[in-house]
Amino acid sequence: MLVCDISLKRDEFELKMAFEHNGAGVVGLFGPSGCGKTSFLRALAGLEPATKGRIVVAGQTWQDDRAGINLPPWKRRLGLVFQEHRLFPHLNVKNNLLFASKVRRLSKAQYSWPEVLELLDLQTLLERKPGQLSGGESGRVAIGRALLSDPDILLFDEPLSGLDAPRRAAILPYLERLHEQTRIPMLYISHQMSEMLRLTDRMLMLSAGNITADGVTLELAYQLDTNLLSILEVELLHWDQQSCIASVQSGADVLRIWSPQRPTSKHFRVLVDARQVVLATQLLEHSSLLNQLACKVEKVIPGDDGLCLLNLVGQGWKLKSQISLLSLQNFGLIVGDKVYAGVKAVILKGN
Amino acid sequence: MDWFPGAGPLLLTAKLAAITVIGLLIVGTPLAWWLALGVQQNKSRWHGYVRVVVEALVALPLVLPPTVLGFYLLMAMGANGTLGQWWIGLTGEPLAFSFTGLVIASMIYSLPFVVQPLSNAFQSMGRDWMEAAWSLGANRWQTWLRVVVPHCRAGFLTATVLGFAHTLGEFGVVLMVGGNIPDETRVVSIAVYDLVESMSYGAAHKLSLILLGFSFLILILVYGFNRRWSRL
Repeated sequence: MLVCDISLKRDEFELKMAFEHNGAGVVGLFGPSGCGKTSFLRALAGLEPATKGRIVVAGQTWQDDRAGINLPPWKRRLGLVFQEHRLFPHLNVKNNLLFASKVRRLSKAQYSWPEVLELLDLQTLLERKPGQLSGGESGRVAIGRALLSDPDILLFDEPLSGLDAPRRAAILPYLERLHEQTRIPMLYISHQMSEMLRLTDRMLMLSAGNITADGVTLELAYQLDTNLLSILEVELLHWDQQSCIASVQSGADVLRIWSPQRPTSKHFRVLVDARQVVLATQLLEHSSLLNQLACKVEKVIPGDDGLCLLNLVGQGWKLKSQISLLSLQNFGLIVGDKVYAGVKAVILKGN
Repeated sequence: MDWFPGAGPLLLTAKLAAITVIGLLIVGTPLAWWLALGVQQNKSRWHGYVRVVVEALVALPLVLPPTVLGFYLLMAMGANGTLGQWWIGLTGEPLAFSFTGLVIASMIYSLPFVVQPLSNAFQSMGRDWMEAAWSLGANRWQTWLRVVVPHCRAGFLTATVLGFAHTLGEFGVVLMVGGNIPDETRVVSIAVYDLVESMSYGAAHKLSLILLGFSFLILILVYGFNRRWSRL
């Protein structure tokens, strides 16, 4: 549970954030660089002395100017995963992980030592120094270190942003696992919509230090006209090892998607790029498409580059499709039309 | 000390250097911290100016001839100087030409050799790791012991050794402020000068060689450790 109403003024820039997080799920803070995301996390953590206002986490007041309360950073129980990870270079991985339990004299934490090692696959890294870790490995250690500090809230400051695509792909599954079994409130900030879609439940959109939109991540992303990504929340029905095809249920429809490994959990999210969704006015008989889903056009967003984006509503799911304006005219598609959305079995993950 | 005429000055020099370094670490550490990291927190322009002035003052002993520094210190510590009068009022003893006076003079003379390596170490460390430690629940003291000191250990070693070694080599300031009183202010550099003046080349050789060997040895140790510690 987080309640905050704070402002932070710095030169020309003013951050003003007021929101509550009831603790269920992950709240994402989304916005371009320079919009104040990192400053906000630093303000929560007590690292920005000029912060004014009120912050209450898990029933404990961290800051309240009227009551004259302002806890120093070390008295605020938060786990902060920095963008640059900030592992202590003079300590090995094990001692980095144990740092908080030593200084806070923790006997028992929400996440136990074996649990964190397993969750993040850290067992083989314990004796190494941070300088001997890859970017992905050091990210995992940073997350584990924060978890083991027994925080009341977990803050992620773009933990994937300094990493290249393969390294990002190496950490994302761990973050997804953490998201699935979340026990503490989490704030995740990023400027990548794909990370928001895969890891967060609620999204606050930030611009120039202010919250401009607040809502369920999938819905907000769907309503955002500039966003090409959408998510299908699916339940695994069956996975066929030979064909590497997973049958999954999304709303009332069953989709078949390619998955070289058995999906690790029953419920997961499939990221769909609007450029991969083909539209047809009737079922295609002779095509390689494995999935053709009946749906309705809810919104047409014409672009000025000869392309247009269509918001589609199916039975219990929503998708976006990007087609050319020429196709739109050829079909004569308008809002309310029934169409079939062709979704390839191979769904690209990531960005 | 009749077995070797240099033993007295050697012991006195070691004592002076050790006390000077301990004092400088106590005074110099907060000063270096403030120079390296104190200003970022308080961004007022006034603070910036003060910092520049303090930085220049700390570096002054590097460029001033020791005799000039010694001359001013003598003026201050003498019976008519402000510091000297205050000291006489406090203890009844004169400060100039005493061991205590020598310690104070040495501390000023060797200040940059302690403050600059520490300041560089703190600056290159930056605030990132301290913030990480705070966010993990370490208070200022725990952060200092568990993060700052181990992280800056090469800086502390360099500061300690350079401060010690530089105090060993001081001559001009001692001559001005301390004079040549056996077991009180007669350090090795003065003793060597004396021996040479009185044509005792043999004894001067012995004493010089000891100082040369010792200085060389500790510098080797410092550079060796620094090499090792820089590969974290």
